[in-house]
Order: sequence, then structure tokens, then C-alpha cells
Amino acid sequence: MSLANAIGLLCVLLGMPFFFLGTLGLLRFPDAYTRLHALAKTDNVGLGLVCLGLAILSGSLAIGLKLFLIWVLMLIASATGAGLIGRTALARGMKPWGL
Amino acid sequence: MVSDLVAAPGIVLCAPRPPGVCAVPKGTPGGWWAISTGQGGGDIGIGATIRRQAAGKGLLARLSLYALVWWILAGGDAASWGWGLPAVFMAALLNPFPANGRLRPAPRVLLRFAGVFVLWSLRGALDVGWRALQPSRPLSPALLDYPWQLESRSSRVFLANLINLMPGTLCVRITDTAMTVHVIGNAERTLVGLAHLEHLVGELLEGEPRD
Repeated sequence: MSLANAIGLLCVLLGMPFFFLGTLGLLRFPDAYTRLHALAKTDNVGLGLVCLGLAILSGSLAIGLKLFLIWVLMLIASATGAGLIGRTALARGMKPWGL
Repeated sequence: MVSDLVAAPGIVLCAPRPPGVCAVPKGTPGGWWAISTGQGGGDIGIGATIRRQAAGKGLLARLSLYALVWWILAGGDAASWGWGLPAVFMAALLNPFPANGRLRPAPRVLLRFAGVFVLWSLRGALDVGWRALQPSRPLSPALLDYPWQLESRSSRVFLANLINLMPGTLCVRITDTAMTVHVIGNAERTLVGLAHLEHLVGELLEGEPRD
């Protein structure tokens, strides 16, 4: 296995625990706001590392660019989605846990 | 209901800047908040948006950029343009933000922003992951009112969305003068971080170094 392959594989393996942590937060955290925190932050890094790893493993600039775009588009969707859910929840009077 | 929430004890209200700094962008009837709430002004419909974007600057640049994005995502597949072309045109014309075509961040600023984004993303994910793993589930939620320093509507929306990916912050309300931020960690440290991010976004999108 070449060094590039090893680094790519390492990135993918490092990215996966973040999805686990996000899911754990989704299940364990007490309200919509805190769950949004868990999902938005961990998916960002998890998918970033997985895409980076896959891009290195692919060895292709075109595929690397495509994976980077997928990550960026997911970031936009994730940040916008979290904001929309959070703003709607507060506008509908959902009281944050612990306040 | 919401105003009760914000006025309730236990919720930190912060005003780190003197009032009056945050002006409503000029030329926006009823303030930009009116656009997202559907109040005030007749220029908020889909038809008006399309007319404004078609007439605005940068339409060609947006069309080219979105076509490039589609081309990369579709891997150059010629048959995909049947879906791709309508999608590219709709994205370019339905863009809800004013087309001012002024966005030319300095490479140095862009690099600094990318560095901060990557580092803070990692910090945010580790922070929230650590909280999820702890048996005691340490969360200290608070709502902060953060008055805008940024002038334009699009950079405010950019910041509000950006902080959803940054450590311990979630934007839960946007008004003409401030955004309300849900935090799960140390509120004071979060405020310092928000000010830093706002400064960076100002440099990136409004193009002038801020004090």
C-alpha cells in the first residue's frame, strides 16, 4: 500500500467516528436545539474527512474536485437546514432545554 | 411567547456594542427581515426576484459558475444537461440575494477564512462529541442576543448560517438589529468567537478591514 493510500484510508477511518458522535448526540441530547448542534458540527467534519480520504484514494483530480463540491454543498445544506429548524422552533415558542 | 423567552431569567442578554451601530441596509423596503417574513414591500414574489436577478449584475458569472458546478458533479455526462440546464437557470434567477457582483475577496483573506473554518469546525465537532460522550451530558444552554456589526443582508445571512457549523453556536433568530444565538458552552468565550467570525466575514464579503 502506497503512502497516499494509507493517508486516504486514515482520513476515511478518522471521519467515521464523527458520524457516530453526531448520532450519539442526536439520541442523547435533550431538545431540538442541542441535537442540531450535535448533527451540524459533526457531519461537517465527518463528511469532510471521508471526502478528503476518498479523494486521495481515487488519485483523480476530477473525482477529488467532485467530492470537494459535494462536501461544500452539504455544508451549505446542513448550515441552512439547521438554521431553518432552529429559527422555526424558536418562532413557534419552543423553549430551549435548561432555560 | 418568544419575547417572554428572551426576557426570562437565566437567559443571558448581551449587548457588546452601543446601540445604533446596526443600520438597516438602504434600499430595502421594510428592512430585509420583511423579506424573510413575507411582510412589507411588493418586491418579494418569485416573479420580482427573477426580474431583479435577470437585470442584476453578475448573471453571466452566476450562470457560468453553476454550469461549472453541474459539469463537475455530473462528471461531464452530456445526457445530464437535460436536467442540468433548467437547474442552472433556476438557481441563477431564483437567488434571493441582491445581485451586486462586488464579491472579490483578497486571496489572503480567503485563505485565513479557510484556515479558521477548518480549525474551528474540528474544534466544534470534538467539543460537541465530547459532550455527547460524557455520562453527565454537560450542556449549559443560553440564548444570546448578538447585535449586527455587518451592514449587508447577505453577509448577515452568511454569518448566521456559518455559526451553525462553528463551535457551540446555533442561530435561532434573525432581526434587523441582532441575531439570537443558542449556545451550549461558555457564553463569554462564544461571544469572543462570534466577534472574530463577524470580523472575518466582514473582511471577506464587505471587503473592508473592520475595526
